[in-house]
Amino acid sequence: MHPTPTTGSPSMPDTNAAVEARFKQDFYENACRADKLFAVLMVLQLIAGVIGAIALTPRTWAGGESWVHLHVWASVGIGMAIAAGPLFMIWARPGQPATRYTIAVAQMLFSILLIHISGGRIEAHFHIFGSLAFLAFYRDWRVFIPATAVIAVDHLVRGIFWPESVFGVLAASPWRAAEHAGWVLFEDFFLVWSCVQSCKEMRLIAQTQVNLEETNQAIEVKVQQRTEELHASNDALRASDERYRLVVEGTREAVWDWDLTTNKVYYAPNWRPLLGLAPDTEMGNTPAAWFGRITSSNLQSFQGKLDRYLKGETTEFDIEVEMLHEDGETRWMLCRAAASRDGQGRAVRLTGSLTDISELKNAQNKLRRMAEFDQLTDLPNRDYLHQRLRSALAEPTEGMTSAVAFFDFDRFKVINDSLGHNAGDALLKSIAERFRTHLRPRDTVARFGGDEFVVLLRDVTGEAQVREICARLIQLFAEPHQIDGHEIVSTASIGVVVNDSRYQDPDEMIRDADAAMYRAKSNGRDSYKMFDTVMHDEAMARLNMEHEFRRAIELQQIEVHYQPIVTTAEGEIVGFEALARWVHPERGVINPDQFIPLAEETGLIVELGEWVFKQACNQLRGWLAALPSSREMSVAINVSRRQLIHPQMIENFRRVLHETGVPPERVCLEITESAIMDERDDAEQVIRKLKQLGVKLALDDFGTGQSSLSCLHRFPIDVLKIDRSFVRNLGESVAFSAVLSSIISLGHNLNMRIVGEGIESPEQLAQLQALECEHAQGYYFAPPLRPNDATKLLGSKPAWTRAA
Amino acid sequence: MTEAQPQKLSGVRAMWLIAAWAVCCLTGFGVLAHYGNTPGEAGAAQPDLSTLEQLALDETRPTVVMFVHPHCPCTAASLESLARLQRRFPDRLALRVVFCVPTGMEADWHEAKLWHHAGRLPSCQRIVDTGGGLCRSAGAATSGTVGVYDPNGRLRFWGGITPSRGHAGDSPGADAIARYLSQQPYDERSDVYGCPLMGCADETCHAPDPHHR
Repeated sequence: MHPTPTTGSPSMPDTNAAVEARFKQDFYENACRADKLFAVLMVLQLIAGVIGAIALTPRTWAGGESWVHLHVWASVGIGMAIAAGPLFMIWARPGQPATRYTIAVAQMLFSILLIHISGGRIEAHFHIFGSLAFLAFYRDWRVFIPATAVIAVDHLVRGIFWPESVFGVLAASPWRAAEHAGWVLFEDFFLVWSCVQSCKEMRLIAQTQVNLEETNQAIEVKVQQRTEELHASNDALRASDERYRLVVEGTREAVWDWDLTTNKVYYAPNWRPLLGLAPDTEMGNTPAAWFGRITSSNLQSFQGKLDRYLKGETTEFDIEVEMLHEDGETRWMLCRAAASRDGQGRAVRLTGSLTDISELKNAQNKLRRMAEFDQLTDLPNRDYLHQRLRSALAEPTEGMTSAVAFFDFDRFKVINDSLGHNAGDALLKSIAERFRTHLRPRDTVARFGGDEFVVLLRDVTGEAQVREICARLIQLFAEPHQIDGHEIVSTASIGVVVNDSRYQDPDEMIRDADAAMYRAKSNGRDSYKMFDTVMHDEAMARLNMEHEFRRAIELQQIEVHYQPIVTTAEGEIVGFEALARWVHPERGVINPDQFIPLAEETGLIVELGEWVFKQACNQLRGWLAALPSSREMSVAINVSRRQLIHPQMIENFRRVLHETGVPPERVCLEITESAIMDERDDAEQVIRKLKQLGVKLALDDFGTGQSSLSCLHRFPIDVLKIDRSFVRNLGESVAFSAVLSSIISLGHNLNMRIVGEGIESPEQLAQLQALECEHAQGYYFAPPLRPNDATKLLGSKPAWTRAA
Repeated sequence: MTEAQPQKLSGVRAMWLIAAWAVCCLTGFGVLAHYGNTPGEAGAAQPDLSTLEQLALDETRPTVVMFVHPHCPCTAASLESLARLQRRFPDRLALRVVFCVPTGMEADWHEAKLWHHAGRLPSCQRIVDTGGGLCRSAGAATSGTVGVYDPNGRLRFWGGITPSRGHAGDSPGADAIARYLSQQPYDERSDVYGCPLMGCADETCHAPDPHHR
């Protein structure tokens, strides 16, 4: 059974050829070895022949004289001649058949020579058989042919001419010749058989050698492949090691490798600079060198998280811990690791890194502070208060409660406007400082925006304690602030809400405190107001209303009513003011003063305003189509402050005007003085753009706000609408008449039309007529009318015309 | 099985050289054969030696007398043949071996291998013929020459008893003696192969034997 190569196995013909080549090579090498053997043998035989000749027949004699025997010369001469042929052939053609045939012949000639010089001794004949046996070394049976032939010829010739020298008898006998030949052939047969068998064995050995060589070649190829793979693997490993070394040395992270089976830790050199240690400091190889530097506050969580990871309860391990630096300070370190696990999932090795994230932590803290604290006052901001309030609501102290106080500081805007923003900022800082110094550590005060502050009072016993605190704070803020050499008093209006377990959402609590603050502000400044059930109910009602209002817009419960604007002289209707009315299915018609603030708060005012604008324009288009072209007719539409600053308002109005085809000059937009003054910078641009549309502008409710004269002259106002409060008080005081007269004169001087609002009686109309107010509006003429009623009114002759 | 290894000599040249070599060898063998088969000088055999007391011929049976050169290497074969004859006819012949010692030789010159060889032959009488007078008297000239004398001292056979020089075994001479002893017809002469008993330096250089065949 020969091993079979697994790879690179040659085909069978190739194998046979290889076996044959191997056999020939082996045969040749064997022949060469035998040649050399016979070369030696020839020399030895030559020497032996000479020695034998000398021993047997050293000299020949004649009486007392003697000389060297011819046999001696013959053994030398003929022996050398015999040996010369084979030796030459061995030198000239080693391993060739002719050489070994020559050797065979020579060997037999040697036998003949030896027999002859030995006097035909029987023993000398053994040389023949020995030589034949020797020739078997060639393993070439053909070599016996010339050998046997030489012997046969010799015996034949001598048997004929000198039979007694061959057979030892005087007469030649065929039987004796046959006997001689038989013995020789007998030996030849065995020797030929031996050669044939030997060749077979040699071929088998060649086969085995070839198989072994093929197997060896296959193994060599395999070994070569494996070696190349190993080299490649080693190269990759070296490259990996190099990369690892460069990474470990080049990174700012401190790499570590913890053998959990031996509890030995390898600390990369970067550990030392990370912890402020000298480069030659011995780190040791125990976890204690590491864990011992984790601050006690972090150690437990670190070990807990590490244990959970090692047990496989978590899939990742990264944790931020504070570690002691050699300078005595602590550093924040980010520790990340990955474990190698055995077949049972047990962690056997943990490798990771340590990164100094102190700067990151500081930056995060700074960012968090920026996100949670007000830059000006360094007080917590709205978000931070929300967190604290949420925490207070979620984790109340047993037997205690919490309260929120909403502070709005009076006169801040005035101070800001009059003394400048720096003074305003200084005032806010002073307020913040007073909060900081007079509140308890567990309380939180936050700047909510502008001059609004919110205080979270934690762990208060109840409303009484809250009242006491609020009263103290009222007193505190009644004290003047020293700002840039000015003594400024800014009292506070405080709305307070005490958590009576009904609050879950911080926004609700702040909202109610805000509502209470407004109540306090409306009740007179420098006071506090506790949020109570009435306010709660109102708030709930308001919330409900907000919900219903949203539904009303969806269900188109909002209608546009039109109140006529008439001339005071003739009583002629020259226009209508479009007024939104909420026709509630249960509560009937709801006035705008009840839902417009709500619409403004919720932002629905923009959508509502656009809708009203479109309805009014459509209605005006109908009226203009029905009335003679010479008749004056316009429609006035209110624009809220929120609408005014809405970026899409101008474009929406332009689109509606374009769609309805209404002449812009027939549309008058009413804007309150407060809306203009609050959004002074933005309003100026918007108003000028509105004027570019071609619409008229009316200043609504003039006289209720600041009645700023600068406002009248700064903005391109076309109509001045005098607030109903002026008209209502017109008969009560002469001073009112004088003021109103002045306003009307001023308006006329500024080329404005004057409209008196809230006319409810003929007397009021007469007074306006007397003051030369050319237009009036009010219930005396008509309440806001549905569109059909307004249209009817236009076609009729109302009663007031007589009075006018 | 022809091997393809490079050779220093082409096959044709090798054949020629082998042929030349074979001729040389055969020539040598021819010379050797010629030497081995060339008989020595037969000598002038004396037909009656009854008066030659030195030989002390047996009076009851034939006496075989061999004339030997003490150092002739070829004569060992003759003694061997003589021994075979004695073994074949143990009591029917008497043996005498005459060692011819030329004049001037040392006293023990004759005591070489042949002397001892002859001594081992049963009932063989060794005779030292100092100066070679006895050999000359008998007419022997070549070592290994055998003379067979009947009880009356008359020569019955003369010649060698080896087939060639130095070769033991059957030979016409031995066969003739055996036939004589068996009282059968036989040849009275045969060729003798051996060294000359006397050298040319001796005074006994003989002329060729007129009876030699």
